[in-house]
Amino acid sequence: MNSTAPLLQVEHLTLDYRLPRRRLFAPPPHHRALDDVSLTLARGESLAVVGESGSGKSTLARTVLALERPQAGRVVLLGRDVFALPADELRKLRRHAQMVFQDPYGSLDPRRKVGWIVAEPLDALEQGVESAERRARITETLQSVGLQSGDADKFPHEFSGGQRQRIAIARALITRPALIVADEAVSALDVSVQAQVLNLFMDLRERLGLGYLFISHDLAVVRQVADRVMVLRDGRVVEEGEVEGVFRAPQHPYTRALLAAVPRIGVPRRRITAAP
Amino acid sequence: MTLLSVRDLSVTLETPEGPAPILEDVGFDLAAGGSLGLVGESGCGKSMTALAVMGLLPERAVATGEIVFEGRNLLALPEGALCKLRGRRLAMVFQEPMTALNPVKTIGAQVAEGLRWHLGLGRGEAEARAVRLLDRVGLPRPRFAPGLYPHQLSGGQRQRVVIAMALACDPALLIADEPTTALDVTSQAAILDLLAEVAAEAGLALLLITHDLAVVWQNTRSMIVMYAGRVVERGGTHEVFARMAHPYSRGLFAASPGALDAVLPPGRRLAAIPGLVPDPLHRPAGCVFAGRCPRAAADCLPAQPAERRLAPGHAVACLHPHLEATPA
Repeated sequence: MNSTAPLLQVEHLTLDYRLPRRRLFAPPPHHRALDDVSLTLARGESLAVVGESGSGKSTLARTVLALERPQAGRVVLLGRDVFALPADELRKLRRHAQMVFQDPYGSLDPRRKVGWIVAEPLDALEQGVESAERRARITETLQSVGLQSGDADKFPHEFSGGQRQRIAIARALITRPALIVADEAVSALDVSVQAQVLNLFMDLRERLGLGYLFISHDLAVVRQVADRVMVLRDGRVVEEGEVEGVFRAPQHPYTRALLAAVPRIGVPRRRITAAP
Repeated sequence: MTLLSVRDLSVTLETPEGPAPILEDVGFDLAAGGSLGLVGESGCGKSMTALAVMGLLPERAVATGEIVFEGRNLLALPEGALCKLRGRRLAMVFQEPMTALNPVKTIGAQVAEGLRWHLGLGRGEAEARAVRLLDRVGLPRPRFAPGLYPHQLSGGQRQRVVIAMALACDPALLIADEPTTALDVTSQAAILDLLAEVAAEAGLALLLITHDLAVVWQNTRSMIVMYAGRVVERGGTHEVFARMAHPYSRGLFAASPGALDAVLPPGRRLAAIPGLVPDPLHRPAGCVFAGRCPRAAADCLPAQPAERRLAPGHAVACLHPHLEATPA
């Protein structure tokens, strides 16, 4: 692993989804989900990607983790081009980048115990971990997200939504990654629990030096967890910058429209003309 | 004039483990043309309150108390009489427009359905009215022909169709249960604008259910905060926000990232409320919030605190409320 390389470099990523064929002999139409997207993320840095549904933010998350293959562009994780690696090398690289999904109800297998769920990435990505070490890693990881070692023997249904999201985070942490991609990771949670999980993200970052790619539609959340923010619209980057700068003085009209639409306590509602 | 008056509403759900109290002694008034926000987290009873008013509680639920709407107690009405009110005088907008709409019927036919059913209009007239209603909610022809199907529309456009259906028979009360939670922030703003507009135009009362404090602040004149099936604080929206007196209200406010107008300094954290909402089968005898409350004392535990008035139109069910202003 190249230790001077940035955590993540995304260069000119373009990705088309094939749409259903309209005519038998004509080529099928495409939808451009990502259009020339570039970004750099340093170790320990937190970058938020915001945009509305269909803006390509989840596609970007999936492509960064090599779950989608782009038509053009590169994803360089820790100095290695993920789409140029042979399969076994890519698998070794995967333990350095893990994902937390939105729905803590849908992302955990209801028939598996928490210990198994949390250890699954370890079992899949790191060969030859001894069972004593495996157990120690499960305990250590559960404790790092505020759960107890005894929770390993329970099933997901015994936990509330916020605790399930902790399990999902533990599962992402067990391979000791340098990058966490969080796709709407707190959107399904209630406000008080959302604050607990956001605080956990901030703690983990300070403790473990994690870098985050934080995908969210919620601008208020983004402001609290990210150093920089990138605004996507129709697969294109329309604005990028330090969080405070973008929130205080958004440059692009679309960013301004997005920010103006966020309801705020103490600020009377202004009629806005929504982007069509 | 009071349009809707809910008194001592309690709802109990039969479960295999015994009866679960879902709502306990919920009460509020809503004036004709007024707007009331219902806030709280999942499981606090917001949606159950809405379903009780609509007469759509699950069959295993038993409701006691009174829901007086236009002078009649809805809990005592037979189903036939309720059917005549629902969609006619009482209308509801749900969170998920895709499930609220029938995927195999055109949007024009769905908007016209209530007109034909409740008002007995003929097909032609109902469809002409449906076209006008769709136009009113921002779906004008020819782009949005009444022959379109729900899947041909975006989420925000579908929610507009649901609002057109709700408005069709000129109701007196519109209940909107998380109407914008499934939408993008720009669509959310447009839908809230639309709701405020049509409510003002038609003089209809709005019962807005949401978990988003900022949405309540911007869109309602009065509000109630619910926790674990009870009303813990009520009052004029701006009064309640100025002095979030119940520790739960204040906790919710402090935990909302949107309540902060700047970034937290490094090392600082959002104010999370520790613990969880108690489940209905195991609610404590005393104050339901005591287990999570930073101000709880011994006197909170024996009995549920009665509601006390702090100011005209501002009441709180707490023995140790915050009396100082909400920190900015």
